[in-house]
Amino acid sequence: MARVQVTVTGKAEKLWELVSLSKSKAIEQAIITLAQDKKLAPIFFDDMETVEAVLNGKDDNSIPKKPKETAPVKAQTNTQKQSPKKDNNEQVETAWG
Amino acid sequence: MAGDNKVQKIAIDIGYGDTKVMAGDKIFKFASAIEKKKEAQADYQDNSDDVYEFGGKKYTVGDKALTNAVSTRGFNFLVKYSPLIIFHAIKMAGLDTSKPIQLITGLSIVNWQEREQFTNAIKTINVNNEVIEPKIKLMAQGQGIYLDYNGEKTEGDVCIVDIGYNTFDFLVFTDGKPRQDLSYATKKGANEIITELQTKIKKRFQFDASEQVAKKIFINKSIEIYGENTDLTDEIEDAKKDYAEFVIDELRSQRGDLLKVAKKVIFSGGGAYFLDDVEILKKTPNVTFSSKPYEFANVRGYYNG
Repeated sequence: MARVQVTVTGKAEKLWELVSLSKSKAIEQAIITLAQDKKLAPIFFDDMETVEAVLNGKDDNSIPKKPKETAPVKAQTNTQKQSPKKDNNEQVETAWG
Repeated sequence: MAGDNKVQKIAIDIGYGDTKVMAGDKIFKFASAIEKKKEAQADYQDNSDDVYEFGGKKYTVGDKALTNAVSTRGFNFLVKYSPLIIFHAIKMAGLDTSKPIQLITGLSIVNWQEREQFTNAIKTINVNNEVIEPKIKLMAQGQGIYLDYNGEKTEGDVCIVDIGYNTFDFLVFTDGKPRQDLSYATKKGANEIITELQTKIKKRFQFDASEQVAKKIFINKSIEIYGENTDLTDEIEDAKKDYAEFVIDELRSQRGDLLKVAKKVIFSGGGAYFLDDVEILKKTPNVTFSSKPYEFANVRGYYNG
């Protein structure tokens, strides 16, 4: 179980007041609906493979854990930090604009 | 290619459909497809050329990964899997990963704000326990088309219409200089045609064709259902015409005045095949197309520019 504190503003705030069922249930359902929406999900979730695995009801052991899943990019960032000689600007040149 | 310590140059244009590569006299493409191998599969396919270990997992890259490819697309896909795609391209080009590599690549201006996220992901490529730290030159997708174009292009406004599979990039150069203020991009690439075809197939045959299957149907111009072959030439031609109209309307509404005064409007990218026989474009004197194959124009420009 995760306890969350949220701040809602604007239209969402007005709608929030109109939620008649349990507000926790509303948030639960909103997250699931968001995850199932093929267009919106990639905006809110980085790791779509794990999201799909969760939606498909795979057991916890078969779902790659977040830190492991993001390892490629993180590992690369770490490696980069370990190479102080490498000047970022030297390594990357941008030719547009 | 390998030889001494000379920097090995490679240009890679990672599209959402195909990745195009140029290195020396080699120019080729492969599907930008990634398949995550299950443990059992990985065990007996360890030695396959196209299976790579990346971030503790095994993947197949390229055409062989098409059937079970990771279905998600978008910028996150690009950031996460570009190291793998680049590594595959480097291997296919026959470069020596122990020697210096200069990588020229591009990013759609749709994602230009997030370019650092992209370059950070490919600064250090660690696949199969081989580490590559390429020197990177990042261009805007479409910029390669400009550089590849052989005709007069350094005076006045020159517009590039780069029609990719998932993106539509419109770039402007004034007297040879990039104009970020006039350039724009949308996510309405040539995939619109495939999506439309999928809808038509579903309506007519009650058959849910995946994107890859729809692409095949598009190329074959026919569909086989229960062993019966049905010709879809008319539907496909209609879809192409609709897309051509969409592109022309889009350009007119977004940059109509600029197009009137531009010295050149150069069409290219894989989607340009759908437009090069459109009468209205043929009759417009400042409209031209890059050299074929259109889909390689960017990578040729990246490499030679």
